[in-house]
Amino acid sequence: MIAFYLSVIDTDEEKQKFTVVYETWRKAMYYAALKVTHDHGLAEDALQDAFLYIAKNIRKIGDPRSAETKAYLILTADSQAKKLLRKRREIIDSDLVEDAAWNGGGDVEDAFFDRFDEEELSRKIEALPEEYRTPLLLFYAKGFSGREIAEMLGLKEPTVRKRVERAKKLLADALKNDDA
Amino acid sequence: MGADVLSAACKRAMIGLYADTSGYDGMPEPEFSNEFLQYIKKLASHVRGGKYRRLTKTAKIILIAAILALLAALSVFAAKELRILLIDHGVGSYLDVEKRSETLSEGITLGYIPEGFSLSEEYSSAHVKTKSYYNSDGLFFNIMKRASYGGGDINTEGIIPQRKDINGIEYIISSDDNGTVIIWISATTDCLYDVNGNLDENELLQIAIHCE
Repeated sequence: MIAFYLSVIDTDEEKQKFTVVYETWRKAMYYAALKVTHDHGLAEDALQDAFLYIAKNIRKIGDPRSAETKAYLILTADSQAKKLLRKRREIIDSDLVEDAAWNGGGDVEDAFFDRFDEEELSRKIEALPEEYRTPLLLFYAKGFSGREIAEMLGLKEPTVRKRVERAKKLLADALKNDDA
Repeated sequence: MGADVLSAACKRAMIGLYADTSGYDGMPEPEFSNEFLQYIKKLASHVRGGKYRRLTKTAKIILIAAILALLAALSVFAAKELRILLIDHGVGSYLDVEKRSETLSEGITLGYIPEGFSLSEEYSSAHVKTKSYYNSDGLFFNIMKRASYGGGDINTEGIIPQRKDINGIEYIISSDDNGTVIIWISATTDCLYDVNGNLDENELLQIAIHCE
């Protein structure tokens, strides 16, 4: 489907924020992408895609110099580099494998996690497989919709939903195991 | 509480995983190509009143003149208002909107929803409203309604968008292997709409026609 990018940056304030983001983090983002692609040209291509998503979602960025913003930008650069490699290797993502492998198992309510310690929970999240962790982080840490994450990661929207649900299920299972 | 703890833990995990870039500190500044630097400049200048918009406006005037001349020559000039222009850049197009609205007051109203589809997601802000629908077969469609002051870019590489005039509204339709997107401007609200999904093109068009 053709991508449709509506007025990515609307105000002077957003323009300024985008400029600060670019000036401050482009180097770290570039090396994060290069770490994945091992090729300067591909890393640059990945960064083009990354900055487009950043511009489109500039409202999701609070303080452009904060650690949270930095982490989100590096995650975006890393994701775009991996997406680019998947395309170039003509690997048609793992949507189909995903559909076959995941049979649901019941949704885990967000409130389930309220009784756990935030730090403990974050350690469990860090330990999740990346394919489940990244959609979970974008959904819960940055508030992206399933559609936005699907576009960003080059996945189908139902796959993103399944991965978020599976990430929560894996988290819940890990926490329950600790309790037992 | 809802997702508060989970959200906070996700933020903490994201920072823990991605914020430490000390390994890159001693690395040299990357040497980006001119193409990349121009691209970033273009992204950053996508702001109302900025240089990019002034250039687009010039191109728009030339295109309007050319299109009006063509319509007159073909004797089909029937007070039909051109509302959307696609300016081809070779690898993509810039979409410019003739009539503009600054804000949204109403949400999205769908007069036609194909059988078996249910609302799965909804988002609303002062300038944009979206709805997403799914069915049990994995088919989906998304609708976006937004204030249309900004125009936007469309990736039309290898794709020639079609235009259909239905009841005085011009729909821009573009399809590829992954799905279809339809863009139009409402005659009554001047808002910009985008319906996209992996349904049959005609089905999506019916959704578009009955959307307000």
